[in-house]
Amino acid sequence: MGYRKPIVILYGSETGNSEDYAYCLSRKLRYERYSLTVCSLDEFDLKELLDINCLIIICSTAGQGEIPRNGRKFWKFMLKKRLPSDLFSHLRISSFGLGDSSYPKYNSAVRKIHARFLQLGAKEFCMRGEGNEQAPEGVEPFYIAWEETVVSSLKAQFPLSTNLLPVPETELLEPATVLKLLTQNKALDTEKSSKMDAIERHMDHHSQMVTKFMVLENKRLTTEDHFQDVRLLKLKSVDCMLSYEPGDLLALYPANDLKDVNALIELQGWTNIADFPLQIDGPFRAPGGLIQNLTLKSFIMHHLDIMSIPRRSFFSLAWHFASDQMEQDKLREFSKLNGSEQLYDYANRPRRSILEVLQEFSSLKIPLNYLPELIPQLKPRLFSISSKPDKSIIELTIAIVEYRTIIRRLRRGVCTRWVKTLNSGDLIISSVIKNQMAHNLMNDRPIVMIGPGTGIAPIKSVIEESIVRAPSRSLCLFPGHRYSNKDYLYGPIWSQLEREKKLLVFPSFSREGSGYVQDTLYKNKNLINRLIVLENGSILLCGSSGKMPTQVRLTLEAIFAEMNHWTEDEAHRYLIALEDKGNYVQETW
Amino acid sequence: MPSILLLIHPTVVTEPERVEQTKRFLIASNPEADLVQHVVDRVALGQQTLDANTYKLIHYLAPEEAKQNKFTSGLIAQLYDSLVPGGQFTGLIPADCALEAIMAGFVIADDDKSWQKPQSTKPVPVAVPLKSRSDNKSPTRRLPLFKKLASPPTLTDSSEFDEDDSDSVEQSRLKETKLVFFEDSESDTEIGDSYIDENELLKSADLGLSENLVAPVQCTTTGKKRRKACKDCTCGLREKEEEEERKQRSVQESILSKMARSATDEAIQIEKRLQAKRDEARRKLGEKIKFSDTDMTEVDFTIEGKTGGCNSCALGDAFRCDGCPFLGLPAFKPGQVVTLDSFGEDI
Repeated sequence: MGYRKPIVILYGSETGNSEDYAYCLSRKLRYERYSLTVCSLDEFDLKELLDINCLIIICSTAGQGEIPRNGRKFWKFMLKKRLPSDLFSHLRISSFGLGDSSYPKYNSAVRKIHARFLQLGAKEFCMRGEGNEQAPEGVEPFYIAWEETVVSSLKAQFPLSTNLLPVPETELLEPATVLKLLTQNKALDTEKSSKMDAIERHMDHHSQMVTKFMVLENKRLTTEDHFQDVRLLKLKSVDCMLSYEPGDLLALYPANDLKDVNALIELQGWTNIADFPLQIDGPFRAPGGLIQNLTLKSFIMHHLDIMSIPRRSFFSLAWHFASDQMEQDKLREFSKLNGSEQLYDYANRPRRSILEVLQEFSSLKIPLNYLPELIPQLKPRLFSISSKPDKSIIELTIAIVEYRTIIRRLRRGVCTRWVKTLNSGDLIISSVIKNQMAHNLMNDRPIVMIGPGTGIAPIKSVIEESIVRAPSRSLCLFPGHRYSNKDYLYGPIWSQLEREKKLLVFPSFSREGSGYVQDTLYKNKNLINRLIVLENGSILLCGSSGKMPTQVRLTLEAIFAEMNHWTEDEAHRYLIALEDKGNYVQETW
Repeated sequence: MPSILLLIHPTVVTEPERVEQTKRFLIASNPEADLVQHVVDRVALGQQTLDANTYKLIHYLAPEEAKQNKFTSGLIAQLYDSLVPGGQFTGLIPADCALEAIMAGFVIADDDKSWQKPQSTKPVPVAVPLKSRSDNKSPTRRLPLFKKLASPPTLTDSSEFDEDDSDSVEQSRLKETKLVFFEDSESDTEIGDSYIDENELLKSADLGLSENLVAPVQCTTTGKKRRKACKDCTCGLREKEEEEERKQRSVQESILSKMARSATDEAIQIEKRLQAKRDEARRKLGEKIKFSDTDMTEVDFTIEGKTGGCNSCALGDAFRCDGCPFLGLPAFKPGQVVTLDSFGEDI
């Protein structure tokens, strides 16, 4: 006799790191013969927490210390005041956080979740762990230590029946899904129907509500001679009335490039079976619903992220499938926890794709049933909506991602590459994702908006909506681009609004000597201090994460300190208070 | 006088013969005992309370399908309480309840066919010590249910409960009650739902968010620091990496242009030979021309001496040395036709 209930691992993940660790841990525990449930915080039916005893949470922290997007629904529930303090008295938990100590709210998401569980009666079954991206060896050594503790504590506190020995490492665990090729049926013309296939999907309660849109316009906003292609994608809802607010997001469901799909199919010797109808038995939950015309080819095209960078969990399964000893050893080496530096140099740094790895390890033949476990799902990509709320129209501002690394072939973002292929009249599916970013920002108090690059997208929505709803509002915009005549996104619109005295614009053009947004902010310190400190305004900062948000923040602190004769610390605390009140909103990606 | 409790599943009520038969069997094997019977649902829902320390045997009569219907830990605890020390729970044992049974204090028989309440009234050391490590009191039979916190409301008046005598009937009711909190989460728009301030969670030390964390293992394999430029690197590593990449690309250029030249040369050679063959064929028979496999693989740079100095250049980046001129180019396995196309569409 022994413990039989599943151990539940929930992850909160922005970029997929936590998810990968969750799957690594689950595989490890499955080899110990535990039964496991792994899913994101939001996918889990929280009622089931009452039926289990052992819960593990792996969670990263989003920009301003909040819970990652796939845990927001869960978190809203957890924060309800009326939850009783014994709600989770039957639960034993542990948690691991992925954080970066260079951010002020280091690992705060996992700490909050953990603390809330304890507050609601749960107890720890082992010490919690936190990984720091800034540590010399990265998160890995923190995770290794925590994983060991988890495994040994589980074995002590939730022992399995004594006659169950762990599964040997060389053995392969049963696949979670079975892929049945219906070869007695007629083969489909997957290539020809791929655009139509993409929009017909099976919906279940796990999938996002997707609706159909027609592409009205897909136009380049930057000049042809500019290094970057930024697109305005204008969509019209076909089958429902839209309801969105400034700050909300649209999820696009991209497909892989046919050439890449065919390369994989050929490589694996699946050419003859790729077009027969396919049936998937087992738990395969596609975020936008599984497409209806399923063949092996369309499954790979619409559901598997073959162009993503392989993670450690990929290698820990993949080595089983290589018949060549040398290849097997090498793949296995990459799967080892302490091989992470090697893996980084091989996969992450040159942005090598799974397809390219498979091309290189030619003895690696994937058994069909393991395909969904080996290759991660193609996930929807989120874009800030840049139009003002409308019942049928949505506009997005999308930067096409293309760059070079040491690998000869040009790197391209799967989604933006797909966006490039869209023509007016095409039908696609998408879903509107509520973000509540601007909840606190839609009022009639002044607002300072800082949005370098495509950070302008959500800001444009805020500006256009404010002009309609609060015409007297002080709107102050700080866009940042390279050139006034190449990549000044929506420049003519801002000039027009400025002439109409509806908007104050202070653009920075870094290649024309006017510096970056933070320089322009400082030059306008009087105005900013007046709008924020004296007139109780708000700040909205959007754009890419990294250095920019930190520097803008430091600049603002410097301005407030100088203008109000505050100490550095006072200015710092002022900004935190602003943030806690929801008057300093940062939407970075 | 010890008695026997026959717990019956509601569907069994429709088969009176079966109930009678079971009763006769139970009485026959325990001639001096009294027999009572209850429907399991009523007990589980707390509509029927069981006297503590009363039964020497509880037998559960239910159709085989009901095996999957799990007992709540509340029900199990109730059964435990109502048994005399040494008493047994037999009949249909619900699946997947072993942990709850163990937690309630039962000993599970080796054949998995009965649960026994141990002779000693002292709680047995449980096989699954789920208690928090700090708790050094004698092992309790089940999880402590209520922690008295001032602010958030508990489900019931906590004065009715104290930890040593936490009540099993309430426990099963409790789970039902707890479910209510989850059902609400379905409707997002509920008015009057107020939320705690999540920032408080990080502040208050009394929540017990321990500062004790699992310490990282020391890197023993290489001991060297990870060579990885941060996203917003300012130390110069990023530039160094980019310089390396630029260099590598120019090495690639030169390899590819050599390949292209030699491909052109070889193509000319092949064309000449094929022309000769065609002429010959035409001369002889006028038959259809078939290319042999060797003809087809002649545009192959991987035969003889093309594997590189260390013999692994051909294998692909995973096997190539640091600074290998082929880094970033695809693998070219011996015998495989290398087409310029496989090097990317942007040569």
